[in-house]
Amino acid sequence: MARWLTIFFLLGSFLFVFTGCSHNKLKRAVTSQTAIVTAKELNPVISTSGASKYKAEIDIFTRHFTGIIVLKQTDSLTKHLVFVTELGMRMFDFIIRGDSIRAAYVFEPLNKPGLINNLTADFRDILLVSIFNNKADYKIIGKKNCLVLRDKGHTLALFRDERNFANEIIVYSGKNKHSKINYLADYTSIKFRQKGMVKLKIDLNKIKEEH
Amino acid sequence: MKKILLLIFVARFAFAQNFKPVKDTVALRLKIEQVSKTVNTIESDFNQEKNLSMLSEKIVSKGHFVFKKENLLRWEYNSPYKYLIVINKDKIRIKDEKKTSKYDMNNNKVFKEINDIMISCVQGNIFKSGKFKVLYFENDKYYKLELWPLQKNMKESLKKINMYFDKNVTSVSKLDMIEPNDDSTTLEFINKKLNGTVADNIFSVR
Repeated sequence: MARWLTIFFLLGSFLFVFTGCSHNKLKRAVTSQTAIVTAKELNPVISTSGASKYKAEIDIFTRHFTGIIVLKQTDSLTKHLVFVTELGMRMFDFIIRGDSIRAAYVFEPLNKPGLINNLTADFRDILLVSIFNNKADYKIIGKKNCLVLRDKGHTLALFRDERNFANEIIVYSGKNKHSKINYLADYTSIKFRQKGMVKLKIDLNKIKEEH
Repeated sequence: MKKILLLIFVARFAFAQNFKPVKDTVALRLKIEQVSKTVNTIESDFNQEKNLSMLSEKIVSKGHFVFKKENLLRWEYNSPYKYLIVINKDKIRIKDEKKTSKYDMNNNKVFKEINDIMISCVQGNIFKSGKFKVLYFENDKYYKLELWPLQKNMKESLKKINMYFDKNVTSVSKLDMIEPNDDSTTLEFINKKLNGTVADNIFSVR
């Protein structure tokens, strides 16, 4: 199974490099409507009922971290992302309120502003925080439905399936691709890749609960 | 199945029973030190429960560990996924499902600290490190040592460690590591085997 997933993503990356949606294509595509994105148009990654646990692998700069990420909504306005190592050490706790995400706790040896700013900004996109309640242009690119949004100087192109689960997000900085997120099987697998000056790779795979 | 549930219930009840201060702490300390000297290998299954208090959420992991004097430890998770840590003196190897990483603890302060805590917790002699203020308690079934960190940097990530020994003090039965925000990690050791034959090659870091 894991092998097929790897092949799928390698193939996906190959297609992304050679046939990926260019910024010009995005610009040229006709806008059918402009509207605020809500949970009606897009299923959230963080469920409103109960916690989700993901096996997480994070590669940033030259460092490799593994552990478990817990995503949970704790009240009507607040969500948490907590990263815990296999040994049980809490590495960071990010709080999400509205469209912002900030670090509530970071394990001291990790507490470097550059690293934390990158992680919070990228998790903001991964968890669709930058998408919800943001104004989007609804376009058709190829045969795919695409939501195009502006957020903090970036352009985001979000592709979703017919059941309103995100499939893919491409983040542009100017005309250049800044990062790419792939979502598989109703968010059971999420892969984030950022190239350029700061190379960052995040793989999340949902852990099935034992009952 | 019913017997297992009953055993778990009895064990949890025993741990939760009221503890009172130990009168002769010097004798207890000496006893733990003496028994620790006679234990050369430990092999045990473990259940780990991480409690994220604010999220009222638990992360449960299960695995197996093998310890051999001096400073050899194989700590292996089987659930929710495979993850292996091998400590061989000053070398550490970490293997997840995709990647193997090797570290030299002399070059990595964090791993050195983790190694010291893991090895000395497993051996039950962490209270000898001088890094903790130690309080001694007991009930009918267990001795409980409360270890309160003395160093400022350790206090930032650890409030205290509760270490439980059975009354024979042969080895640690349970550990609670409590963080300043009251999140905790509990390790319960089951199916323990002391002084069995353990081959050195399971601690290979190559």
